[in-house]
Amino acid sequence: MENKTSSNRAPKAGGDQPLPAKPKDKPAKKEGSTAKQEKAQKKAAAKAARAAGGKDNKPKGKDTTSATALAESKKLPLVAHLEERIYPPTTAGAPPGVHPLVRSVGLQFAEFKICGSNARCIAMLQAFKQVIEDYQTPPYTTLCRHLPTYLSPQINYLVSMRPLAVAMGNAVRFLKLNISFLGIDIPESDAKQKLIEGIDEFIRERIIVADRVIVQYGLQKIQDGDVVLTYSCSSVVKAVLLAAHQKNIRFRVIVLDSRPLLEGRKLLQDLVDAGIQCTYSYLNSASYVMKQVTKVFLGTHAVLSNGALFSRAGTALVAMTAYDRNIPVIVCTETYKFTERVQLDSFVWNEVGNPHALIQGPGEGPVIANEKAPLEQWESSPNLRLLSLLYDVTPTDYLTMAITEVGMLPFTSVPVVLREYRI
Amino acid sequence: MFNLLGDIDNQGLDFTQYTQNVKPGIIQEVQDFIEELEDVYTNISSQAMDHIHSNEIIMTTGLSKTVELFLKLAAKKRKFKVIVAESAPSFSGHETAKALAAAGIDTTVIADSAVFAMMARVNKVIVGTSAVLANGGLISSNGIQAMAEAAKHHSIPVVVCAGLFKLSPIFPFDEDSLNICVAPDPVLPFGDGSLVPHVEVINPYYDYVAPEYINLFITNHGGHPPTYLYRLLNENYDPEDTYLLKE
Repeated sequence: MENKTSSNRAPKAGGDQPLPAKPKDKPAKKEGSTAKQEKAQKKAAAKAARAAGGKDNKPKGKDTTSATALAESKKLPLVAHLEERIYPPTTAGAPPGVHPLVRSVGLQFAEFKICGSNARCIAMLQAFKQVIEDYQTPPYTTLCRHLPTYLSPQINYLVSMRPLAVAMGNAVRFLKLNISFLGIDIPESDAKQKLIEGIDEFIRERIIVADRVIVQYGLQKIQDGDVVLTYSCSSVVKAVLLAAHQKNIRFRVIVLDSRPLLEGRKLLQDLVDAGIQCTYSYLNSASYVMKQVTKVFLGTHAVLSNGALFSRAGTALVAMTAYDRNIPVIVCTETYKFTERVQLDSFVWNEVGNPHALIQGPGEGPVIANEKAPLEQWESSPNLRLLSLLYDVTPTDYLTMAITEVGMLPFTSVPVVLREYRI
Repeated sequence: MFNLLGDIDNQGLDFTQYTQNVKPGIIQEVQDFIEELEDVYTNISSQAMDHIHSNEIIMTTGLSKTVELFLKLAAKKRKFKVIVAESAPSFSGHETAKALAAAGIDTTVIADSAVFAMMARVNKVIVGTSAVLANGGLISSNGIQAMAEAAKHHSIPVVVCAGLFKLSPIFPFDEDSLNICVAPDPVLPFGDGSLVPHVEVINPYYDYVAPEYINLFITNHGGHPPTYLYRLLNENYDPEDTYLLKE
C-alpha cells in the first residue's frame, strides 16, 4: 500500500491546534463566504508558506509558495455550486481529531497520487482499518454509538481534500451499516476485530474477486486480431488486457489520453511492459483512430441508475465516436460503483480540477514552452477563465454492454442489479 | 481566377498567334482575386450580427483568424460568452482564447475532454477550417469532428466560417489521404525514453469532418448550407480544372 510508506509525510499527528492565524502570505482574493472558511484559508496559506521550502514533489509552476483559492471572478457561474479547492493542497485545514494516516491518504488523494476509484477506495478502507484499530471507546459510551461520530470527521476531512468517489461513498455506507449491526454488549476488541474483518471482506469480495470475475468475462470478448481502444486508465480494463495478452490472444491496443491528468500514460507503460502492441494518442484523434478499432473497453467512476456512466471527462466523446461508427462499447465495472443517483447533465455533480494544470505541461513549465506562452498571465486577464472538469456523463445510448462480477448486462439492467443485490 | 482563361472570348482565336488583349485581362483577374482575398475577413465578419445574439454561449477550438475576427466584431455590439477547447497538443486554442479575452469577450478555456460535457450549455459551435471539400466536408484542425459530433448529439448548430477560396474540388474518397500525421513529440515526448521505442504515437494534424455534421457555411459570399456547395463549386471551378487535378 502506497499510503503506508508515505505516512511519515503527514505533518504532526493530531496537534494542529486552531492557533490564531498568522498569515505570512494571504490568499490573493478570498471567497467572501463564512468566517470559518476564511479562517481555514488563512491557516492553509500560512501553513503552505511555512512548508514551501521543504516540498519538492510538486512541480506546480511558480505559485508553489502560496496556497491560493481561486478568485471569485475566475469561477465559471455554471459550476459555481461545485466545491472549490485550494492549490496546492495541504493538510493544514484538518481538524484536530483526524488520524495521521487519514491525513496522509487525504493529501495523496488531493495531489492525485492515489487516483482511480478502486485505488482510492482501497486506500481509504485500509486507513479506516488502522483508525478502528487505534480507536478507544471513551468511558460511559459504547463503540457502536460512538465510533460513527469518531469516523465522520475523518470522512469529512477526506471529502474536503477531494470529494469521495461514488464507490467510496458506497464503502462508507457499508462500514457504517456494519457498525450499526454491532450489539451494545459486544466486547470492544471483538467489535473491532469484526469491523476489520468486514472491511477486508468488502475489499476482497467487492473489488479484488469482482475484478477477477470481470477479467474472466472480459477475456471472452477479446479475440485474435482485435484492435481494442481504451481511454484514460482503468485498473480493471488493464487487468483484462493483461490477462488477454497472457492467454496469447493476438490483439492491439490503442490508448487514448487527455490532458491535464494524462492517466493513459500509466496504462500505456504497464501494457508496454507486458509486451502488448500499443498505439498512443490524444483524445482529439478519436475520430482518426476509430476507423481501425473493433472494440472499445472503458472503465468508469460510477454507473448511474439510469444506465449512464459517470466517468473521467472525455469518456462520453470516446463512447459517442465509437457508437457513431457502430463499434461496441464495453464497460468494465464492479457493482459497488453502481449508485441510485441519476444525473442528466455533467454539471449538477462534478469535480473541478486545478485550473492551473491546463496551462502546465506534464513536466515543469507551461504547455507551450516558449516566450509567447499565451495564457501564462491568465489570472490577471479580467475576461479569461480556465475550467478543468474531471468527469462527464456518458448517455446510456452509446453503451453496448457492462461487464460486472454478476455477469454481462445491458445498461438497462443497472437499476435491476441495484434493486436485487441491494448495493 | 479559376475561370480566367474561360472568361475571354476565344471564338476564332488562333492560339498559335501572339495575342495582345490577354495580358491586361489576366492582370485584372489577378487583381480582383487579390482584392477578394483582402476582403475575406471583413466580408465574413460583417455577417456576425446575423448569427450571434445576446447572452449566448459559443464553443470554438483551434486557431482561426476568420473565427476570431467574426467573434470580435460581434462582441462590439453584443455580449456573449465563448468556450474555447484548448486543442491539444498544439494548444492553438490558448492563443484564440487570449485574443478573444483581450477583445473583451468573456472566454473560458476547457480541456478537449470536457467538450461533450460543456456542449450541453452551448448555443452554437463556430469553427474555422483549412479547406472545404467538394461534398461539403471539412479538412480542419484536429478534434473538430468529435466536437461536431457532440454538437449533433445535443442538436446544436455547427457553423463554419471560411472564405470561398478554401473551397476545393477534391472529393474525399479516402479521407485519410488528405490528412497528415506530424511529429509525435508533443503527444509523447521523446524524453520519455523507455516508452517511445515500443509505442506507435499518432499525432494527426487535420481532421476530416463529414458534411452531415455541419449546418452552415459562412463564406464571403454569404451563408450557405453544405448541400449548396456543389453549386458554388461549379461557379468557381471549371470542370476541366478538376479534371486536370486528377492527371
